[in-house]
Amino acid sequence: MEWHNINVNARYEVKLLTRSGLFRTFSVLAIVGITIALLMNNTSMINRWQGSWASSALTSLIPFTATYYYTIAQAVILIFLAGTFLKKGQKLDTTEVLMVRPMSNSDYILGKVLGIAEVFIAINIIILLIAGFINVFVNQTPFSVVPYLFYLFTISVPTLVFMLGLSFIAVNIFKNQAVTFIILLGVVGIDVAYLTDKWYGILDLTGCAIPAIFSDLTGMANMGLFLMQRLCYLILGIGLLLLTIAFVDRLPERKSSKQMQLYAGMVVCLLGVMTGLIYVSQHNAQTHVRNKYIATFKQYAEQPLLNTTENSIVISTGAEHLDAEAVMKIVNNAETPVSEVTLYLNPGLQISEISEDGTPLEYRRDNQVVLISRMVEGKDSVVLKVKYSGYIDERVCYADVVQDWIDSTKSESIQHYGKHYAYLDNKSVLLTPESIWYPVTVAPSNPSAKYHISRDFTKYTLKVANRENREIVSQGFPIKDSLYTTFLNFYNLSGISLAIADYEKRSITVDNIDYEIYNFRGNDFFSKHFTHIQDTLPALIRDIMGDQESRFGVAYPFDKMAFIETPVHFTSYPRTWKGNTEFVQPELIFIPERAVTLNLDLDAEATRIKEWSSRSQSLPDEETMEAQLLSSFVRVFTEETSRQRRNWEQQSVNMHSISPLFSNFTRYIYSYDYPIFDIALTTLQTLTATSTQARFWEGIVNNRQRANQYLESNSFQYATRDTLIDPEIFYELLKLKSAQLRMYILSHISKSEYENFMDDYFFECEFRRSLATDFVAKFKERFDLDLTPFLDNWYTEVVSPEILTSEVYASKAEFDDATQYIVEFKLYNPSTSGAIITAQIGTGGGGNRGGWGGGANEDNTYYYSIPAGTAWQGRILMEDQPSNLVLNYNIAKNLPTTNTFSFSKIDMETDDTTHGFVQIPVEKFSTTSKGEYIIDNESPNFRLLSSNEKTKLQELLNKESTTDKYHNMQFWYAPSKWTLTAADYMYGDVARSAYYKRKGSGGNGAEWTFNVEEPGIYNIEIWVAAQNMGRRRWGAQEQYYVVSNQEWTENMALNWNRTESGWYTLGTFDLPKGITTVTLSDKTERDYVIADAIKFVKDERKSDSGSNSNKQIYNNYE
Amino acid sequence: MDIKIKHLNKIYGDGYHALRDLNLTIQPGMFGLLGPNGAGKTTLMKIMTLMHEASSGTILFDDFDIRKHRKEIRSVLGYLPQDFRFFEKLKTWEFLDYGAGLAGLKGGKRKEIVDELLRKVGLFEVRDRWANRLSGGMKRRLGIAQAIVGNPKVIIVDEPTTGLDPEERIRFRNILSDVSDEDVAIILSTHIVGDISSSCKKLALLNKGELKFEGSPDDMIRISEGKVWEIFVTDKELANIKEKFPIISTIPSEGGWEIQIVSENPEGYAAKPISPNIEHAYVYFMDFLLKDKMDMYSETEGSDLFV
Ligand SMILES: Nc1ncnc2c1ncn2[C@@H]1O[C@H](COP(=O)(O)OP(=O)(O)OP(=O)(O)O)[C@@H](O)[C@H]1O
Ligand SMILES: [Mg+2]
Repeated sequence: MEWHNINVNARYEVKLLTRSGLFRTFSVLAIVGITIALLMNNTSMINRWQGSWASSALTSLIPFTATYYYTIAQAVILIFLAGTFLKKGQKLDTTEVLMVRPMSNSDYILGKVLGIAEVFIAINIIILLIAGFINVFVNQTPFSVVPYLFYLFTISVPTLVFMLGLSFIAVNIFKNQAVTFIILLGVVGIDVAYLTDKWYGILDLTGCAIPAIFSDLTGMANMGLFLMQRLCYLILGIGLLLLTIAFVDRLPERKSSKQMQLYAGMVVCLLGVMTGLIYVSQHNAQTHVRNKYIATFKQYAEQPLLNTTENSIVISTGAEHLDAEAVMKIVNNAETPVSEVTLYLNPGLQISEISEDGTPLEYRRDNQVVLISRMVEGKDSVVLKVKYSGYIDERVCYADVVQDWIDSTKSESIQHYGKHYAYLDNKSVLLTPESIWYPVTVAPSNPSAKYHISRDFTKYTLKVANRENREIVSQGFPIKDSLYTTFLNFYNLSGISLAIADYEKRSITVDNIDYEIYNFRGNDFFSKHFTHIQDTLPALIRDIMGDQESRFGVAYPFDKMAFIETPVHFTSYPRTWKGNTEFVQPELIFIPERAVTLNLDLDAEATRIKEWSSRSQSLPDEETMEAQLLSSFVRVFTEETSRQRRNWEQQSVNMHSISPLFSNFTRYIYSYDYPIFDIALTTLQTLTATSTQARFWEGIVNNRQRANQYLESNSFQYATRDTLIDPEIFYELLKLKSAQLRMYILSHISKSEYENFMDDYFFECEFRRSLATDFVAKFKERFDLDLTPFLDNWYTEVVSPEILTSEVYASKAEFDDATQYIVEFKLYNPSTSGAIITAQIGTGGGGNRGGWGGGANEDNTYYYSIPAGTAWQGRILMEDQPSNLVLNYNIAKNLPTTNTFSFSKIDMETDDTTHGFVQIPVEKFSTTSKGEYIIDNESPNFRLLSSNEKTKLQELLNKESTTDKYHNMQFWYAPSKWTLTAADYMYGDVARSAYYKRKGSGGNGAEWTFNVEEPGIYNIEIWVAAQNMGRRRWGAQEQYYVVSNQEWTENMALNWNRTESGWYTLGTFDLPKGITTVTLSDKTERDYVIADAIKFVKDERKSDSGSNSNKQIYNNYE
Repeated sequence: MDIKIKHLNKIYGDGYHALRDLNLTIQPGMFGLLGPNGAGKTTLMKIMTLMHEASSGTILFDDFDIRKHRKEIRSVLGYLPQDFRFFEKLKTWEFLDYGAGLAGLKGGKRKEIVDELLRKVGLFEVRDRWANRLSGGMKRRLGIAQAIVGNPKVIIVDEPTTGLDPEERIRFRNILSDVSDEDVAIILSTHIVGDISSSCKKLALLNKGELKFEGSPDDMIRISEGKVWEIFVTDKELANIKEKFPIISTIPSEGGWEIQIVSENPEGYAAKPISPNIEHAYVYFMDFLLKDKMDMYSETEGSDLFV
């Protein structure tokens, strides 16, 4: 190898590459494309309202994004150019004159590689400069040059080397431009699209899916592993290049050198593979330790429960180390003695002594479990002193969360953050109960049965050694002396947390509650938005708090509410069984660094408010706008679910919701029989009448429907122990079940009575544990209603009721000068399980479709219990004109679970104002009249005239292949095959479904078959599912049908341009005895075609008037 | 530098035996390699330039063996391939500069040498033109320039003059003779016999991978002495004689043609022997070799000719 030769080759490779038209085009496209992408996603320049906070608020976000884009672009360019390496390298005689020169093969290849690398790195630097410019001047977000260089050398360069190695070797193996191109494209494409999350991301050749975002305070989540993954590709790349040298079609300097290069290449490749294996095994080792801790939790899960009533902790923290001493008062609440005291403490913390009254006690340690040889008599207590020190092992946290979640680095956007559950270092200390940083008697999680967990209420005193330039935050009232800050608590808490960092503190006291914000020094991104409301802030806060208190029906139970900034990697999981995430603790709410992952962009929100307001005639003053902004800010913490910024159809549990502050943290109802009782009751408290009602953005196929489906074959009890159920679905299930309990209660006692009872009960057992049996007894005492039979059923039954609905009308009743309204409907439950349905009447407004909760409120909500096999008629008397009726079938097979019936105008009059909900004979319930025959798409007499099978390949490549039978309707992009969808404007008895597909050329059809037993005149009517929401569409909207039987065939058309769903006549026909089919073609002027229900109505009058030779009498076609 | 070719065989991957037990010594000076299409000239040159590996036998450059001392051999070689094209996007001077760089020339010295060479081959004015836009002759000159850059001891040029006009051909020859000195061996393969006679001291003749003649042009001429004749023929006779003998030239004269033919014995004609030149000699050789090519079974006629 001679540097001079390498250099000459490199210099000319640079010239050749930069002069290639293909390369120039690509690089210009890459630079322009990436600049535009950065401007769109990482600045507010183009997406003014959406904002860019989440993709620019940390110093590493913009450089990462730029590097990510470039790495992909670079891979694409290299794949396209790989072919030309071959053309230049092997075919033309030009190279022959070079090959004759006294250079070695490695000089030649390395020169080429160096030249190409120089060019690509140069473009990379140009892109980083552009990104830097955007970072500093366009967006003015925090800037540091370090991440720019870091990503260049850890993401771009290793990927470049690897891609070069791969392309060179591919060219040498396949020796054909097209084959090389296709293979490289396939390998890289599949890798980037599908394999980045396999085996901890080791197959991710770009490394972009490995968590790499820096916290500006604590750096990367796990730099070691990240670097190891990158090193793997760098080494592999070098190995492949060495192999390339061995494969070069030129005689080597010595016979043996080819072999040497081959061996060297293979050895280096092997080294790369080994690095990858080490990377994976490092991850596996983490999992292994975690599993050990999980096993320990499981092993001691049945240990008799002791409660800690008092816990005084003295702690001092340093880098990766803490020293502490806890004095605990432990009580045995049971009657029976306990032979050993079981404590839980983080396995990274070593206990040096456990003593009682100065006498050391014997103890055993099994990972996080401490077993102390001290018998505690029934109803007796013991005071123990535990001295311990060490580090925090995060692997003990979230033992009840599935491994997939732990491993997942999935993120909403392209950045992957990485995870930490606790911090104990110089810059930041962040300890929440999940890390068991002080000894407790109740385990934080129970991996063998997640819902079988308990909560303890303890009086905590925390004394923390002061540190220079560090602010200490915890629950309670702080008293600071020169050495320690002591936190005194005046009520029992379910757990305490500790945060120490260089915080800036802001606080305001309103109505004796301290509102505090702690942000890392220099990270105040919010005050500038609230400069005008300083004076009115107390009043605004009072209003907001008032709203929340009335929402939860209780006063805020604490004296403090502190928002504390954490490093961005601090993570938690939505554990519905816990009722709170670690982000939300008593008195404390942890928010991510610069609120970057919080779905909150104050800048964009401010712009939005300003621009919206400026559209109205009077421009509100700054104060009003800031107040609006404040409420947007607050909404982030008050919404039950948070919609994601980029994908607004996707919603997830809001992990920063403050609702636990009003419920979970103040009480705990322990139930041996229904371990989920406490969490269900808490969920129930946050439910409103509309909580389980469909929201328009969710579509029909949503988690609520999936939860419903789950309950068709599984009990609630089973679900609480089901480790495989998707947590989001479980959350919906929990809401459905909680709502069921609520509705059961509300169908027996009035809402206000119920609320009073709950208030009294919760007040009585605030900040302590109570027993479910106690709750049930008190309930019985007050209302003479025993909940036990219901609860047993509620917990164990497998329910799948079906509800049929018919004869939904609204009519007017005039009396003297008053007008009243009657809304009536009939319900029938043909199934074998009882159902509870909710009826809500919307008033006011027009009859606008949807009425998604609009106009409905608790007062117009009615709960009806419908036992199996019964039919009922409901008549509701209204003072105001009803605009719609929303029937919510709650837990039932019905699809959609909510049906809206609109009353656009009420022409029917009645003088019958009897009202109520009365059982009717089942025979009185019918969905069809005499002489009517309905064939729905769910009927066996309906079939599709096309193969609806997916090809194997389609299935393979379809990443999101769901098992859902029904799909949400996407009329703006209809599927090319018949797809089953559902909506309340479609026809169906239980499932209001229909098939639809994109318009076609007539190759696909649908067929309804009707066996005419009584020949005669029939009206054929088509159910037109009009989802136009009151608007007519432009252009022709015909669907084409063919009516045929053994005697004749007739082509028909029906205009689907309707504003209201319903039956529309296709035509009147004289049908002979036997089979008549109606066939729908997918050839239409519409964008898509819908196949729903068809009704044959016997026209007795016309049939009687004798035979009519004219087969088609009347056509309703407009 | 002496080049010794020893028992060289080349069998291509498809089994074609392109060189058969070739033995040849080439001394410094201009050496001509003659042979019809497909004789194996290019194959030999590719082995000499280490583009291909020999199937058996070897070539020694002084003591350097093509099997062992490739680096050393490459550092004394200059090569102009038969079918020579350029990278699309290199300028004339850059192309030369690239070669010079790889030949080990560095920095300012390289620039000097490149400029000097460009002047020598008359391309200095077009130094900034894209190399592939040069005319055919210019391309050849650039080709020879890159072959001689870095003072190679062995210069190998494969059919450099095909397609060049006479003026360019002379120019080309002059460039080559300029570089030949005591120690430089220049090997050129060609069809054009004139190129050889005027400059080569030695030549070799290949056919079907076998060496058919080795020696000086004079040796070759000597062998063909007494085989070249001048005859006066009429139009009618000319047509007849064309069938029988290879005709070297025809000059019209009164009442007929004055023609030169090659023949062992032009019996039946009033033939006058003339002293042959190199072209006559080549035609004489080729005639036999070609015949040999056509009548594979009648090997006897010319087989012992050059022994
Ligand atoms: N790579 C190869 N594989 C197989 N046969 C080859 C290969 N290269 C050359 N040949 C064959 O070897 C023989 C000699 O070819 P070569 O190019 O050496 O002839 P040449 O004397 O240079 O002819 P020309 O005067 O036409 O250039 C020819 O028959 C040719 O087809
Ligand atoms: Mg040739």
